Amino acid sequence: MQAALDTAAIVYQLERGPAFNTPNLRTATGVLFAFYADQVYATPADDAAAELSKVYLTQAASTASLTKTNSPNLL
Amino acid sequence: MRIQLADWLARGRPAPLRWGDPLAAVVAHWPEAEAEVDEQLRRGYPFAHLDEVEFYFEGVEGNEFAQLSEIVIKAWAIAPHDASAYFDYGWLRKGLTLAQVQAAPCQHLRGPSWQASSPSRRCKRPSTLPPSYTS
Repeated sequence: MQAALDTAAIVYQLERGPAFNTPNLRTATGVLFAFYADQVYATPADDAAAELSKVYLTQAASTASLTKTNSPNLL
Repeated sequence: MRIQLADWLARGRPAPLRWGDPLAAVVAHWPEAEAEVDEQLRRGYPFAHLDEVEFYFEGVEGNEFAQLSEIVIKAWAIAPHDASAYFDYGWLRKGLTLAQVQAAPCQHLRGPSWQASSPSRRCKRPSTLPPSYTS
């Protein structure tokens, strides 16, 4: 498993929060990195300044991502 | 035994805990936390939390803490020099920017990098509390 960690990429999607358009990073294994905002984000500079709020790990997301993908490059 | 949160983030699984584990399995991993968790339940908390990590469960037949279903790590609450008896926070700290989070796996997870997989899309905020606490 460590070998996989050494070489594989963390595949992710950049998503947008529903209220403030904040950036969120969702990995292929279902981990969501949620960023904080007290304003509506609109520009790349806003993204760069967004600060990490919470990290979510969920059973359903993890199971779904493992079901949908079969790539050895996914962690 | 302290858990390396970086392993959870890289793999998306809460090893050595497993999804579907009961609250007792969490307490069994950290027996020293039993009194703290018992106090949380006595106060009516709908989840268990140890330091800055919250454990949410699905209820089964009246047991509201039957199956581990979600874990929330409050990165915003982890000060730069905070330490935990339960977890190794690794690079997770308050104030991390998007760019720092994207760079962190390369720096701290022994090599993995981030790789975008598709165009952006909007997402729904995750639901954490069980329905009995939100309806």
